[in-house]
Amino acid sequence: MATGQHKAQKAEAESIDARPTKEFFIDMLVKDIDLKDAVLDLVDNSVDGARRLRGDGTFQGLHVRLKISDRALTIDDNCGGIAADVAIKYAFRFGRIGSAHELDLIKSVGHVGVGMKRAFFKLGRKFEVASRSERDSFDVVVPVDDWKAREDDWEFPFKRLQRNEPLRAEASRGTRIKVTELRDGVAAMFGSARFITQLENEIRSTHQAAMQRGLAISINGIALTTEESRLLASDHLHPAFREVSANGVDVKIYVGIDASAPREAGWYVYCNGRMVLEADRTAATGWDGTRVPNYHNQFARFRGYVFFESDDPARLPWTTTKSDVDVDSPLYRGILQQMVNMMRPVIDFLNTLDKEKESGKTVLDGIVNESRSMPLAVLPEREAFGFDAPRPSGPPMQRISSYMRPRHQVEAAKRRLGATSYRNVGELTFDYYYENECTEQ
Amino acid sequence: MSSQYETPNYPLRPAKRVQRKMLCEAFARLGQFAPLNRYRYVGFGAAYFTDFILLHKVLGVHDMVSIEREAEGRGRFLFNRPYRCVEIEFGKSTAVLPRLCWQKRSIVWLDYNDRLDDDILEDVTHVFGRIHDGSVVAITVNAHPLPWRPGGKERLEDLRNRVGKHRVPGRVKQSDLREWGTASVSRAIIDEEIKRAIADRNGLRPAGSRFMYKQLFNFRYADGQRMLTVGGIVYREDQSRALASCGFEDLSFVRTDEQPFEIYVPNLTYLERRALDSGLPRDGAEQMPLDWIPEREREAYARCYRYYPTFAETEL
Repeated sequence: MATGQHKAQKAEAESIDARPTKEFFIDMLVKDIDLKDAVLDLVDNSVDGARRLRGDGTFQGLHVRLKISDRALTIDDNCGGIAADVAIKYAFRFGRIGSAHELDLIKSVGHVGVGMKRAFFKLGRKFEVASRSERDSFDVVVPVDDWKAREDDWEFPFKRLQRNEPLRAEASRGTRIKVTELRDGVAAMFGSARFITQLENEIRSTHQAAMQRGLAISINGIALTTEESRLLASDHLHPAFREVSANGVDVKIYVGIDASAPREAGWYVYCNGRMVLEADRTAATGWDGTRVPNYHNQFARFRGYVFFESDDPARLPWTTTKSDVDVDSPLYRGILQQMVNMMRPVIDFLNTLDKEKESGKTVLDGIVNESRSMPLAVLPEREAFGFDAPRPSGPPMQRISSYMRPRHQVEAAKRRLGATSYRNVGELTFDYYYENECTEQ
Repeated sequence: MSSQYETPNYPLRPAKRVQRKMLCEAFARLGQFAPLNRYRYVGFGAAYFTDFILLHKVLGVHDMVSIEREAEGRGRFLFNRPYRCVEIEFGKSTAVLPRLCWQKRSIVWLDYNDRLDDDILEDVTHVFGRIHDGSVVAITVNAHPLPWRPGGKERLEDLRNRVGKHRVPGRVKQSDLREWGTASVSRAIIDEEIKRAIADRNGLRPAGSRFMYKQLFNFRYADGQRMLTVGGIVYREDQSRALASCGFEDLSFVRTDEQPFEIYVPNLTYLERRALDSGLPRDGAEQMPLDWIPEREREAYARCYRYYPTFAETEL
């Protein structure tokens, strides 16, 4: 790639100038990300802010407001803003310098350090960031085409920067992002109701945990709602819940059953509150046909939830795109082993429940029906899913025997027996045979 | 081959009895990890509970769980329960093992009659994925080859169907499954499953306290059907001292690799045994008496004389 302007500076010509042009750099950067993920990356930053601001506490009072039209995208939050040092050293740099701890990026979901910039370039040709943090504030405005034209200048100048201001009240700290002069295709997508719906769904599932803690997210003035993850429980039905800590990561695993819903059955895996697997029924969560049977609709009640939490997001078992689990990481393999051995009793329960239908028994069905949907947070720790079957009453073992015979024969037998139903015909003819042929041994 | 000494005595299962005593002797050495009476025993007691009686009497284990898959005739099993401390959990082992508590050091003997299959391997994975350090697990499976047929592939196909194609090493051929070959391959598959379970589990462990597995048992015996018992101890890497002081390697039947210990119980009369016993244990390579008994039989006896079963008819 020619970089004509620079050649003069390297007069010796003993080395080759391999620096990328900005054009090339931007193209590479945005190539692999889709539009929805770019917007999600920006929302992630706001959610990160909420985590830094409130730690493990509630997110009540915090909001992230998106406005999306075919002309612009704005995201407005009151989640703490970006400190000037973070902006200088991290938020606007390509790639991260130093350790995350240095900057106290507690429980951040954005550990790769390119998300925000990549999103800007993906979306439009002009972006503005206005931040009001605890003691700093700044505005940055970047017209991308101008910046691209200055090949040697990689800086984003502050339009305004104030440090060491008087302590700002929490409610007035926040970040406002605006992207305009949208790129080709982006405007069309942003104008499509269908795209907005997809984005809503994605945000809802990805940030379910944060929303359950009180974070209010809205798109074009419409608040997103989310349902709390739940499992059926009662005095006779006990979901499993294990807590494990390893290598600075806290893991919570819940397994049990919920309403029969084939689309919702499977495993849900979260990393620092972000959903990376949804209703998964693949080998990634153990459904490989050997350790656990392949998924089948009789498992439509199956639900499993895994929450990985760490102060250092690099320790979490997710891929760099944060959209999938890293199945080869030792941590994930260890947890998967636990997931698999926690699934077995649920699979057995659902298999038995399924067989009950055929035999007309209702023991497990009764247990399911009298249980209630409970939020995960109230479930007690318990190694394995279990249930208390009532003691079998009456004759301990019964077998069904059914047969088909020509209609006129069955009708004749029914009249002769005085039977009340076809089933009764079967019972009486069996009793007749048994009395005559099987009682003397 | 001298068949008069080899005739299998299926109803009495002498080799199985010998193995049971050997296992018990090995279990007794776990005391370096914790007093044995604090261990829990998990086994398949069936209606006889022979292993339960032995472990309770000899080792003082009093937390015992018998897994019984026969759901019908529960009454018989409950009736034959030898001690109050034996709990019977009805159900398939794949269903029962997950509901047991694994916070306690355990001696586990999964004594299947079946050929190796994926249910058995699921149990293996489950147990090794959860068991406390300082615990011992033994797995017994039927390793008798299917009947030979000309040009047939059923031994290999049967194995693949049972355990899943991906678990059978690619180098295994039909001809590798004859005689004791099925036992060798079964051991390799179980061993791999154990190591994988331990490796997965270590994903959650900090360096310095990772789990380790050391094979102790690789028995072969045939009271009719060829049987394989494989297993060993699970410990943490910081416990290698305790492991060393157990001195498992001093036990003549302990095998830590793919070389098996063969239990072969020759049929000898009481007088013959007395005569052989008087020269045992041997001091070096001296000749044993009774040279009309083939060398092989006498050697086999020397390997198991301390565990040789004595049968007598009594009026109870």
